[in-house]
Order: sequence, then structure tokens, then C-alpha cells
Amino acid sequence: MNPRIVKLTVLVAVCATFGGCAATRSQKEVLATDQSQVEQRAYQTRVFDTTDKEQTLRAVIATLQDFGCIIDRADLVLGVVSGTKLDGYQLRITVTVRPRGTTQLLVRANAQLQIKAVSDARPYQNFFTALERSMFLKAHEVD
Amino acid sequence: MPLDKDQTIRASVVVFPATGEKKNNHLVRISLQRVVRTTDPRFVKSEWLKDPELYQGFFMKLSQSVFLEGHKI
Repeated sequence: MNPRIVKLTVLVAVCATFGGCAATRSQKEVLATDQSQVEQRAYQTRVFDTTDKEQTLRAVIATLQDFGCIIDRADLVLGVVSGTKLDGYQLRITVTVRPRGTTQLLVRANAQLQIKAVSDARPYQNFFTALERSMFLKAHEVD
Repeated sequence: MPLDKDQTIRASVVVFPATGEKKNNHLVRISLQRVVRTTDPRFVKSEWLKDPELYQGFFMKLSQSVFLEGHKI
């Protein structure tokens, strides 16, 4: 057999093996995170002293629009709003609203920048600060 | 330098009923973005459209449309 063909075959086999390993590893990391679930929930979640789910969802929609998001979907029954911001980058965000006890609502935001989850607490803080303001404006609507 | 080839405009329109005295009114809010593809597929621009004229243009057309629909024209 031609030695050049043998070398090429070995090279292809090695590439395929390592490529295969990388693919298997990346598949196993689909559900991996670099933070604990408790940590993530802490900065992604806020509680509001209201039971008005619709008004809260409307405030979420308005806040996402304030940040330049396009609303991709909104569902009152499930209490979910998803939006995308394109501004030289792609930011995708999903916000869920659900009851917490009988007097409060729990709001949780999840964001993804390009293909990576946003794991920095600051953008979430900014979102919730704006949402709080929006909720206040909603409660005392100025014509 | 790649040239702009075509673009996709993304729009979301949110409509909700007003509260208080203007109960019969509706509030409409639109957001616009675009994705511009160039002659080089590696370069794709995406941006949030902030030109007020675009939004005014939309609301003018919407007003006219609401009028025509209201009068069944």
C-alpha cells in the first residue's frame, strides 16, 4: 500500500476519533452549568407583592420593549414572555410569572447572549430595577 | 468591503386596553429590528431600529387602516 495513503488514512482516523470524542463530550454538557441552581435562582428571581398576573406580564412586556426587545411570544395562561434583542449581538430572554402563595407573584428571567447563558447577576438586576419602575408606573398610571 | 445584499425586518406589535377614563381606547406599541445580510455570508449585521420616522410611518398607516376598517371601506 502506498505509504502516503496509509498516513492519510491514519490521520483521518485520528481526526474522526478526536472529533467524535469532542462531540460526545459536548453532548454530555448540554445540561451542565457553571453555577449552582440556588445561585442562579437567587439573581434570576424577584417576588412582587401583587396577585395581578396579567398586569405583571404587561409590565414585563413593556420593560422588554424598553430594552429594545422584540416580543417573540407571550402566554397569559402559562405566564411566560419571550423576547429577542438584536443590536450587533443576539440576546434572547424568557420571563416567567407564577403565583407564590396567595398574595405574591414570583418573576424569573433567563437570558442568553449569542449561544451562552447570561450568568452575570448585573443584567438581571438592571432588568428587575426597570421592571419595578414599570410596575410602579402601572400602579399609578399617568395619562 | 462587503455590500448589503438583503434584509429581514422583525417587528412586534403589542396592543392592550387603556385603563381609567379612556377605557375604550387601546394602547399600541411597536418595536422594530433588522438583520442585514451582505455579499459576504460571514458578515451579518443586526440592529435595533431607532429612527422615529419609521415608527411615525407605521402609526400613520395604522391610523388610516383603523379608520377604513371602522367605516367598512
